[in-house]
Amino acid sequence: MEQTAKDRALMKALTPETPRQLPSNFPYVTMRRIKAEQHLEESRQRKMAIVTTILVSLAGGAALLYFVGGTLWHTLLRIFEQPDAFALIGPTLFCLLFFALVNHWLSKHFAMTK
Amino acid sequence: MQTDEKELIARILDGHAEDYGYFLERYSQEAFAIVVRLVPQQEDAEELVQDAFVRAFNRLDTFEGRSTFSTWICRIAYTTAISWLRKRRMKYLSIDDQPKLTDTEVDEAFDDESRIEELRRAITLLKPDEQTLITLYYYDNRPLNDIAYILDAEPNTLATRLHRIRRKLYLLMKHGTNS
Repeated sequence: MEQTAKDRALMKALTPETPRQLPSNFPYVTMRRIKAEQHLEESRQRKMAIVTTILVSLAGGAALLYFVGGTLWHTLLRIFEQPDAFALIGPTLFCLLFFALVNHWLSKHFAMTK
Repeated sequence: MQTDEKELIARILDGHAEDYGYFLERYSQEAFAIVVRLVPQQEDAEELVQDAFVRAFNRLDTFEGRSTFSTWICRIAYTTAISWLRKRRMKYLSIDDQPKLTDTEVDEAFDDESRIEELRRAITLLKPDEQTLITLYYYDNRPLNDIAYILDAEPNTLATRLHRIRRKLYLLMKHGTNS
């Protein structure tokens, strides 16, 4: 198909009678919508991550109880029947506190550098 | 595609969403020109162009730079508008069986400036994709390869379609409607 100067009438007919323009704030409005959609998507992903974590933890806990729950219970009972069983409580609490502090520091560090 | 545009896209994908404003500033009128011919209501056309830019932003990682960003966004704007029209089930007239016409008759009609109004009315009776094709080719002077990308068609097929559309336009000018 050859495009020639012959099609003058056709070209004029294709020229809009009143030029149509987008409003001058179009880029701003569109960027605002894009950011709002991004924010929504991030919040949806965060919620999904929380729900997934809870479900996986519950499933893991249930599986643990189902498969080795009885054995664990009997082992714990036997441990507490020992006279020096409570000697472990101090070091265990210290370890828990230590790990909680490390966890807090790591969370803070990564939140700042993200 | 310009190198700085490639760099901008890389930056946007890296989290600098605000850089997308450059593409909005530069190409939104171009995309709007395509959409507004298919969807004459200003508000609907604006919303569709916005949808196209949001869709392009969300799919920016699939843009491989084989076409220019301008052609890519025009294609997205065009498909967005066509889908919108399909959902609305807008009907357009068509002439499938074209009587015998000589090219000279058609050429003369398209060169006769006293028939511009008839031509304008005839253009509005074309299907949306046909309107877009003749606008991109005759008014925007885009190369057939670019048009083929925007309309998702083969360049050779488009040449044949352009020929058919010219004849169809002539018939619509002569008869006013598809009868």
